[in-house]
Amino acid sequence: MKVLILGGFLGSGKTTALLQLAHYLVERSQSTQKTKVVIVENEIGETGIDDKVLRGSGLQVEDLFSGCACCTVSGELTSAASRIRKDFNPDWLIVETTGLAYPRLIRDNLQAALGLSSRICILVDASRWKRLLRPMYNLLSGQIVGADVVLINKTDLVNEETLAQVEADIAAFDPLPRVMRISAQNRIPAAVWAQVLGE
Amino acid sequence: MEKHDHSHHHHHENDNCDCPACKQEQAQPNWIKMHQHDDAAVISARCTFLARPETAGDVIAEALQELAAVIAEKGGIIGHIKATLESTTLEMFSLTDRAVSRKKQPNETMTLQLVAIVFLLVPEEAKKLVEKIVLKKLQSLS
Repeated sequence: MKVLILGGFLGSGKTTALLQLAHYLVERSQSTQKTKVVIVENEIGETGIDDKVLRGSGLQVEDLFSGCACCTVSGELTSAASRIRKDFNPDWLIVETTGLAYPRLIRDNLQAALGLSSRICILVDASRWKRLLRPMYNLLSGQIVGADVVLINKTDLVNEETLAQVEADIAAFDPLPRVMRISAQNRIPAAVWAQVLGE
Repeated sequence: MEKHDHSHHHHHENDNCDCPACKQEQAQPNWIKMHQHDDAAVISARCTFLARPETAGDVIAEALQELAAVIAEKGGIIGHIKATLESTTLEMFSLTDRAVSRKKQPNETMTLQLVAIVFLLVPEEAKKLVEKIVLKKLQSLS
C-alpha cells in the first residue's frame, strides 16, 4: 500500500484535485485488488462536507472528523491506516488533510507508527496567495516545506506575473519540491499525476 | 511553528460516541458548535427546516454570501465556508379501489450542514454571525 498525503490551505482545491486523481488511479490500475484506492478524509469541522462529495462519486472513503491528523487525531489516523492496510490492502491510500495540517508531521507519524513511507503533494491557491501570504505565513510555509510536489492551482484566475511570484515564494520556502501549474477545474494531465505519484 | 490546541472533545460522525453530551447533541436536529484550532475558529452547525426545494438553495447561497461579506467587513479572513443541503421528499399514495390518490407536500424537510473556518475574528463572534445570518434565516422559512 502506497500512501499519498494531499495537503494545502483551506480552499486550495484539494478535494477537486482528489476527485480527478482517484478516478485516474482506478482507471489505469492493472491491479486485481478489489479496492484500488481508499481515501481518508480528514476534516476539522464536527460534521463532514467533502466526504459526501467523494462518496457521491463512488469512492471508498473513511472519515476522520473533528480534529487534525497531524496533531489532535494523529492516533486515529494511524489506526485507520493500519486497518485499511489489513482489510483492503489497496494500491493507494490517499489522505486528504485538513487545510490547517502540516503534512510532513503526518508523514513522520505514519513512518514511525507503521513503517509506511508517504509522498506529499501540496495544493496552493494562486488566486488568494498574495492576500493570505502575510497573515498565514507560518502555516503556508510549514505546509510546503518537505513536500515532494507543489501544485499551483487556479492558474486560470491569475496572470503570469502573479504565478511567477507564487513560484518564487514557494522556492524561497523550500527549493526542493517539484512545482507545477494546474487548473483543477479542467482535466489535469497524466504527466502531472506521474510527478505527484513519484513515477 | 506548530502549536496545537488539544482542548476540544472529539467524536466522529456515525461513531455513536457514548458520552452523554454527544448522544444528546446527535439526537437534536439543530446545533451549532465552535472550537479553536491554532489561530482558526471552527464553527460547525446543523439546521433542519421546512422549505420549498426551488427556493432553499438560493436562500442559503445569499445567506452565505452575506456571512462572507460581514466577516470581511469585520477584518476576518475566511479559511473556507462549506455546506451541504440534503432534502427528504414526502409523497403519500393511497387507494381504496384501483385509482391511486397521490399527495405530495410542497415543502421538503431539509438539512443544512455547515462548517465555517475563520481567522482573525473572536471565535464567539464568528459563531454568533453564523447563527444570526444563516441559521435563523433558514429556521424562519419553516
